[in-house]
Amino acid sequence: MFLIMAALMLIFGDQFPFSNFPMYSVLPDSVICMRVTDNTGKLLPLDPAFGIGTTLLKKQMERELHEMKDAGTIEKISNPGLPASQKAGKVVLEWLLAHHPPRRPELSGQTVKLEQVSYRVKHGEVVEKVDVLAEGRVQEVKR
Amino acid sequence: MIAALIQRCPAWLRALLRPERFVFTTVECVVIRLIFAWLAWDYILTEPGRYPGTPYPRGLAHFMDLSFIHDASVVMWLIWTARVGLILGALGIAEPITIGWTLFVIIASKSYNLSQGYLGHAGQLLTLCMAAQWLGSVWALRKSVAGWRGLIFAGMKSWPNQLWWMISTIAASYTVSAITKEINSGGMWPLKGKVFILQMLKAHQERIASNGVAPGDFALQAVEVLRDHAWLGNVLLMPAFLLEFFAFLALLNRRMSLVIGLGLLSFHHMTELLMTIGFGTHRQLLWLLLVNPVFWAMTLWATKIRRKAI
Repeated sequence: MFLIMAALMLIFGDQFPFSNFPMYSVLPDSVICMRVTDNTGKLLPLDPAFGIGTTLLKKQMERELHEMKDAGTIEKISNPGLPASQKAGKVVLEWLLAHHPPRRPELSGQTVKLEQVSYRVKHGEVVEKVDVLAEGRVQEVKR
Repeated sequence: MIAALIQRCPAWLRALLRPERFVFTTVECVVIRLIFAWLAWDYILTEPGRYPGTPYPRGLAHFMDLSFIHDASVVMWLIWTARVGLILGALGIAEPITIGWTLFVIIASKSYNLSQGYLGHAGQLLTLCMAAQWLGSVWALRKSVAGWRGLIFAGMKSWPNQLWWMISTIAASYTVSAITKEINSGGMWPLKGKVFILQMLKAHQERIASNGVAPGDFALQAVEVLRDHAWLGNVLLMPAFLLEFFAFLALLNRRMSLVIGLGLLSFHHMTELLMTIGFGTHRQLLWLLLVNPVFWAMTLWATKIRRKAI
């Protein structure tokens, strides 16, 4: 069974329920993560503010990039370049604000920013870079 | 030659490397099956698919239309029938059908959710273990289908075999994970420690962005140490890689299964300390099937009784 299962996992790859467990199998020289800040640039933790985690935001971003790749707008999903990320980021922020009303009333009507934080190793040093991908207005919440 | 080498090893190492057949008692099988069903209970889908359709098909979505999983009333029906299947299957009733149905519901719902343009791996190992369990029950049918009783209770005779296949599946998943790391990184994964710090920073940043909670002191100090001594990343990656790759040794005997199980649990614990990533289901399955406290508790108890009798 060990050999059969191992072979099936390697042959089918990431086709549920099989998986070749690729998590962290590539350790790239640069990584990105996403966050949301308020109009003063202060971090807005997603779960208390909108009831979702950053992972879901990232998955939504992957989905948008997938669609852009299918449409021929970009060549690859990883590191598609800032303009493409901003284009996808705009859709992702719109999705966030449309589907996840703020949990904190004071956010109502505020402008928020979707940011991409990237880290890369350059000459043995870790370099951090923050890019604003999109800006949007939180929907008004009836009190 | 290998046998000669093993003969030269100290007694404790010989005991670790000696291949032995895993013998499962009925009590062990029953307890582990029930705990496994309890772990799977929460994993059965809890909400309809987030979006309609499967634009990026994965798994079962390649072969059938899974759009019914977007319907909330169908989802409720699926959840409860799958849970009934899970209970009946754990009790050994018509396992090929009951476990089969539960497995189908899990595979269909997760395939649906994963066919929407992104990936996730939570609970994949649990599903594979259930698949191994189900295959074991189906395999048992070839011998003992005699009347309806045969069909309903045939799976029970294969409980030890099902358990063995589940343990083999866990070992296979870790070994495959190590092989994938080597394939995807051009054979250099254990030596990529210099960029490992990026994964830690990313994990920390994602945690802060989600909950506003900073990682623990240990994780923050580890980042600082790795900033100054990047080569230490290799010291972290190499043992992790070796543990994963040699997970198949857990199939040698119960003692080795315990050692590999505890080793992999330490690896996950370290991952949680450094990167705040838990791999909860993996850890639960490692405890249940590789470390197997049920077996060791029973063995200790039996030894105590035997000593008292002497």
